[in-house]
Amino acid sequence: MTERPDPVVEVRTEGARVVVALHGELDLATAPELDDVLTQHAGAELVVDLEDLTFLDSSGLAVLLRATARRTLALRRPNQLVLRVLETTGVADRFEVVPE
Amino acid sequence: MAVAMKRGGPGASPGGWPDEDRASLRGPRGRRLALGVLVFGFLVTGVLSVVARHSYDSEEQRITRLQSTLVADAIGSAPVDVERRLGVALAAAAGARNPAAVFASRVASSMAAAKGPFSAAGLALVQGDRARSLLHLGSAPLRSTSSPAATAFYLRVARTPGLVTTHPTVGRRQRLAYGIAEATARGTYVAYASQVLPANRRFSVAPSNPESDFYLALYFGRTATASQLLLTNAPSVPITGAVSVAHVPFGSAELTIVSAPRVAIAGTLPEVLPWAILAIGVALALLVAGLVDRLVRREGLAASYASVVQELYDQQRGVAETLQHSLLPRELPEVAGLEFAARYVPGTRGLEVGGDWYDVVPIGATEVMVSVGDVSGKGLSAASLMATLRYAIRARASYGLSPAEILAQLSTLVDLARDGHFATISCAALDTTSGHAEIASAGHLPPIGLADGTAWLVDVPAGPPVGLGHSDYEEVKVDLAPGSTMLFYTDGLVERRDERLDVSLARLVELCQGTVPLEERLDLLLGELVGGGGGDDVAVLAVRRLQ
Repeated sequence: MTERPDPVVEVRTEGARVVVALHGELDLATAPELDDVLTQHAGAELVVDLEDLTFLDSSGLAVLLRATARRTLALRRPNQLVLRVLETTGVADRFEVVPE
Repeated sequence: MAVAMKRGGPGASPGGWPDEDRASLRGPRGRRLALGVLVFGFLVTGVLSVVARHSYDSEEQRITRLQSTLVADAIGSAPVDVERRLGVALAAAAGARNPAAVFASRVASSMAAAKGPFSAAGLALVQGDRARSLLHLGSAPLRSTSSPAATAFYLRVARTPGLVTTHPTVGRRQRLAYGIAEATARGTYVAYASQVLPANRRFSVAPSNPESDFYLALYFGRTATASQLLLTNAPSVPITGAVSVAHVPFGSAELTIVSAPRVAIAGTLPEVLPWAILAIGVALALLVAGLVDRLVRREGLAASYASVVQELYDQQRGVAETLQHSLLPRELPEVAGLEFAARYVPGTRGLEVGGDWYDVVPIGATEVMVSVGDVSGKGLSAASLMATLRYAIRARASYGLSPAEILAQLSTLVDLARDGHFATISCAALDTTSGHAEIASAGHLPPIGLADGTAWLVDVPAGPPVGLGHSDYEEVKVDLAPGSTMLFYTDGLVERRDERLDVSLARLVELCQGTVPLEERLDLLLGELVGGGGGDDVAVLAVRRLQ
């Protein structure tokens, strides 16, 4: 298994918004951690920062998609890697993509 | 057509420990360990007790020796006092005109009547071999002052420099006698004195005196002969126990001092210590041995629990794998005009089963429905959802629904928010006679087309995965020319960490270039791509239209 930067999920607040920054790989192993964080902050205005995300598999995508069932989820700075996954799986329009 | 399936090693036992170790913690070996601890504890205790006992004994002896030396020193100073008292009186008498009178007056202060040390004292004059008593004071002499024994004593004193000490005995009566001589022109004057020894030769020592801790016995002479016993505070002689013997000069003779501790001189603790060590040591050894025994048992128990857990885990894993494999087609159907090849490889990451599948369903005489899908996540729930979807597709295909209609209907079966899973599915209906194909995708990776040694990604617009409530999927129509192939796969085949999907897909397309038989093609792809990727499950299905 590849070494991952630690932590994978980092939470900070920007005014009223809760920013969840993802680092490294979001996969079967790390997705539950994100799921916990997103569930915990379900009531807040959530922004998921994807700039440092290097891998996203279906388990990770499932967590992001589950969060969209509750409210609109803003994805900030998704890199090409992430965008390609969103497009390929036909879920790009499920998220609000914000550049900054 | 037989389908090759690759499975993980059947004997893989994650987190387990070898049976050998487990067995060694129980049974006779564990009991031997406890016994060994017990024996070792006893040995250590025994050695400690002996050492403590020995150190106590040697300490006791050291103190006894020191004490007897002190006593010897004290006794050794007694003759000096006697010599001084007698000497002073004698010197005065020897030079006087009336020696007896002068001696009597000078020695008076040393007499018992004046609380002095002497019970008797006297003066004699020795001229040549003759001796004559001049004076005798105090208690009566044991023998007459003119007896041969007395004369012999005077003569001996006259001829011996310094203080002469002797131990005259008559019957049960005995004394300690001293004599000292001074030569003059008239002859040699001999002054003597004696002390009466107490009845039974017993004396007592005040408890406050340090010597009260000892039994002492003073013997006249160099040996501890019973007849020569002068004094003792012991209830019986000879003294036994940790005996220490010292000799001390006593005038012309010597005294022998025998001493032994009456009680534990170094206090009670050192005496009790060896026994305390023995008792505590034995108790500790028993305790530790008991603990070891319990731990060994517990460890054995833990090991057997672990093996049960392991067994249950293996069983669950086995059940899940069996379920998954049973859900995949054992053999792909024989369909005229088409050739199929498929592979399923369980993921290397995590031990739970995945939700990947492939399926081929003949519809009527000239059509087949092909599906390849991937339920997100892992475990029994993913595998059972996969089964649900696969059979739902079969049922709907047999009703004559198109791929897009099937995908739309599947949305009612899966709910990401409820199930925690979604599914990406590629669904294709293929007319075996015309080669016409309709393909729809629910978030699934695009299939690859292969014809005449060239491979390309088939552009299938992907709708969202099944499970998000989407009910409007697009279909593309593709013509599969004779001899050409369509390859469906799950993301486990291409996924790479730190790599964009485009790059991964481009690699797959590149590997598909060239003309290779179908089975060989799949072996080649799996050989190149599986193992170096994300470690996810992989399902691959290839459909080739025969010439």
